[in-house]
Amino acid sequence: MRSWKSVLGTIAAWIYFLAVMTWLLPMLFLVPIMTLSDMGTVMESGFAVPNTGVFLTALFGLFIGLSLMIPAFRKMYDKLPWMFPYVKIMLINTIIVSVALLILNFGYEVQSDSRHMVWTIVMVVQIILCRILMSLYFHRKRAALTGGMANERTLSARS
Amino acid sequence: MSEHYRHDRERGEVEKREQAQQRTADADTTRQQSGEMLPFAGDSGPEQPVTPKAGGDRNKNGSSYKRFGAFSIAAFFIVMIVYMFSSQSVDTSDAAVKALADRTSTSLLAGAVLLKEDKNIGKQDYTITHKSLNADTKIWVWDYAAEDGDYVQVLVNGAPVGDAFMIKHKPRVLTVPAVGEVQIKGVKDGGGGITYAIRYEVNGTNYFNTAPQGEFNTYTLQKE
Repeated sequence: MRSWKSVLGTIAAWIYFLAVMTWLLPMLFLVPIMTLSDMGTVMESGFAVPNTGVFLTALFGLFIGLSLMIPAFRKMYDKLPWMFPYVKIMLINTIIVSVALLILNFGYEVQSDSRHMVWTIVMVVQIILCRILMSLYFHRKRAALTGGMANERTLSARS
Repeated sequence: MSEHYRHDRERGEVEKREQAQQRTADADTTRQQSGEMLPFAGDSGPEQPVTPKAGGDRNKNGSSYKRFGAFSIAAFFIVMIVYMFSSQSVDTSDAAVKALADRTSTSLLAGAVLLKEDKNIGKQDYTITHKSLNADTKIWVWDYAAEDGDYVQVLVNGAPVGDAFMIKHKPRVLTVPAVGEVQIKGVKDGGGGITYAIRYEVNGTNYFNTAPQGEFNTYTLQKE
């Protein structure tokens, strides 16, 4: 009975990985780059752009959350130890960049140079501050040591 | 010295383990000196049979996974809740349908959304005759179709009143003279035409209009 459960769990994890994670993992890398490109467009044109990054981030959050909350899907992270740190760092990075574009868009809702300047500065400060906080967080709680085969790697590093 | 080892050392965990190992080693030495047998080989060395779930487990029962999973799902729900509260549903009432056909309405409130997507209903100029004795009046300007990044600018007698702004479902309130020429200039089309609505306080009427990019709609305000 237990082995059947395990086999079904493994199959479910494989299906989830192939159906969701195969596009989600590259998107986690691409969306922040696309968002940075959108920021350039906003500053160049002087007009706000639709911020699809926020909705993509929400979607990523849902799928990553499900993969981590459902025990069967968590097997993916044990088999691919790099995936948990990658997902953790890239999702937080995507959130930071999406919020930055929200701030910039808000600033560019009105065609005023002084307003543009103020909200661009706010955006830059937000990115720097959040990146510092993120670095401090990962300095205290190393992503590489909190998931996947972390324990084995930690032990091998100690010996 | 690896990065992992250095990090653990900072946290003082390695020191504690080394002290424990030293105590075990001392006990083993005492046992050997007294002729006792060790329980089994490897007990005293650093290569103890430590299972992955034992020593210094930072992901006990997948707690790191669960914490970050909860954070990720919370991020999803926060975005969804904010979106639900900020988005406005399309008014499909008879009054809204009539307003779209007539392009004017006195029954709808400022901020009424009539279309899900932008649709060019053509530009039109109006002359508004009113009985207001006030020198100034309020106007409300909003996007009655999709919030797609349309920009307009309000001009009074040819002079701009503030900077060009993005029209949204939430109306922007401006004060203009009760007599004169109010113009709405289409500054940027976010797609499908610059669809906007304007409500005049002087006659309590909403006007649903389209301003082509770079062109004007003129509203001539005059007293009776």
